[in-house]
Amino acid sequence: MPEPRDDLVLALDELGERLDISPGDPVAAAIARIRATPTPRRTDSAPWRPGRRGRRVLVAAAAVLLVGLGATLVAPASRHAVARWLGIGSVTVTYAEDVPAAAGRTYDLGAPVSLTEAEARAAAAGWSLAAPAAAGDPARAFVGRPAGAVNLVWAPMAERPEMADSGIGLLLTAMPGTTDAGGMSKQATGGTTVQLVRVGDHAAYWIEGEPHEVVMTDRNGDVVHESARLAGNTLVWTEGDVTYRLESALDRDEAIELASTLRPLA
Amino acid sequence: MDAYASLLRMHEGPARRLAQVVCGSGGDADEAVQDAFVKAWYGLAGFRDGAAFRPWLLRIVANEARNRRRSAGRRAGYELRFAEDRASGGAAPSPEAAVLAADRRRTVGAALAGLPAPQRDVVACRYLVGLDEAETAAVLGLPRGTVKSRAARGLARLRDLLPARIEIGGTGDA
Repeated sequence: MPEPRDDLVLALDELGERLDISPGDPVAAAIARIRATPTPRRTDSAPWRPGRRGRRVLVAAAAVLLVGLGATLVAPASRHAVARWLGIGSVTVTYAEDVPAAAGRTYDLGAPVSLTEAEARAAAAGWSLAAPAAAGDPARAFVGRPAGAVNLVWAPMAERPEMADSGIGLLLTAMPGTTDAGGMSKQATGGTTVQLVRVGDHAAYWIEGEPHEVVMTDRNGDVVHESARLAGNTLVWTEGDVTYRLESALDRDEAIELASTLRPLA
Repeated sequence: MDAYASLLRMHEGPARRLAQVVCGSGGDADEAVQDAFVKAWYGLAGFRDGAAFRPWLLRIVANEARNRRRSAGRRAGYELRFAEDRASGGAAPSPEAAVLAADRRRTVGAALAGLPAPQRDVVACRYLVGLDEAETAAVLGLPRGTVKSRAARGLARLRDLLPARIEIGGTGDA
C-alpha cells in the first residue's frame, strides 16, 4: 500500500528552501570574534618540529592554508584537522621532503585514443566526460592513467604557454569516483604553495610552484605512482562524482576562469 | 578568505537552516550559529582524527540552538517564517499560485510546529535541512533506530494534522 509520502516530503523540502533566514553573516561574525580573542595557550604535548628525522612527510597544506589566520592562533592538531576536512573529493595534499628526480620530465598519460572513444569509455563507466569550453577542442585524448581516468591534452598557444618543454599547453585529468578508496594525493616540496580557492560553487586547491610528484590510487585503492608527471601549476576540484585536475602554466585566476567553463563534451 | 572561514562557508547553509528549525523564528538562530562556529574553532584541536566535519559542526550548532530554545521556548511558542514567492528573473508565479503556495507553507509549517520537539527536530533535520539518516543521528546525538522511528512517527503525525490533500503543483491526488 503506497503512502502519499512524496507530496509531504516535497512540501517539507520546499519549506527548507523557503526558510526565512536573516540577512546576517554568522561566519564573518564568528571569524571576527575569534580574531578578537587573545591567543589561547598551546596545550599540545608534542609540538610539531620541523627537521626531525624519520617521518619527513609533513602535513603542511594546512599551515599554508591557515597563513591568513596566523599560525599561532591554532594548535597543530587543529591545522591538521582543518586540512583534512578541506580535502576535496578524494584528493589530499601533503608536503614531502623530496620528490623523485624524474618528476615533471616525462609524461605517462595512458593509451592514446580518439576523443570519441574517450567519451564512449567514460559513458560506459557511467560518467560524462567534460572539459573547459573556453579551451576549445582538445588535441589528444588518453585513457587508463590512472585506471578509469581520461587525460585530455591541448597544444600550447599564446594564451596558454607550454609547460616545461612538454609540448603541452593544458592537461586535464578527469577521474571518476570520489570514494575513500580511490583518489590521488600530491606530494610537494617546500617550494610549492597550496591555496584553497573556488571554481564556481566548488572548493578547489590551487597548487603552484616547484614540480611535485603525483601519487594516485586507482578505483580499487591500488597505488599508482605517477612520479613522472607534470610540472605545471595545478587546479584540483570535484564536480559531481568526478575529480578534475587542470595543469597548465596559467596563473591562478586564469586557471579558475578556464575551469569554470567546464561543460560536457559534445 | 582564510581556511576556517572557507570551511564554514561550505557548511553555512545547512547550519543556518538547522539552527532556524530547531530554534523556531522566535529564537536567535544567528547567534546560535555564530556561537557554534566560535566553539567549533576552539574545539578543533581536541577533535578525533578521521571523523567527518559536517556532522560534528552541525551537532554543535544543534546543541547551541536547543539551548536557546530551552531558555526562550517556555515563554515563546514555536513558529517558522518563510520567504515570500518573489520572481527572481525567471517566470513569476501568478498571484493566485503565489497565494496558494504561501498558504501551503503556512499550513505545513503550522503542522510542523504542532509536532513534539523530539519528532520535529528529526523531521526537520531529515527533510528541511536535508541530512541523511546517519548525519541526523550524529547531529542530534541519537541512535539511528531512534531517528528512523521518530521520522516515521513525525511524518505520520504530520499527515494526521494536515488536510487530506496537499496541493503540490497539482499532483496531490492519490
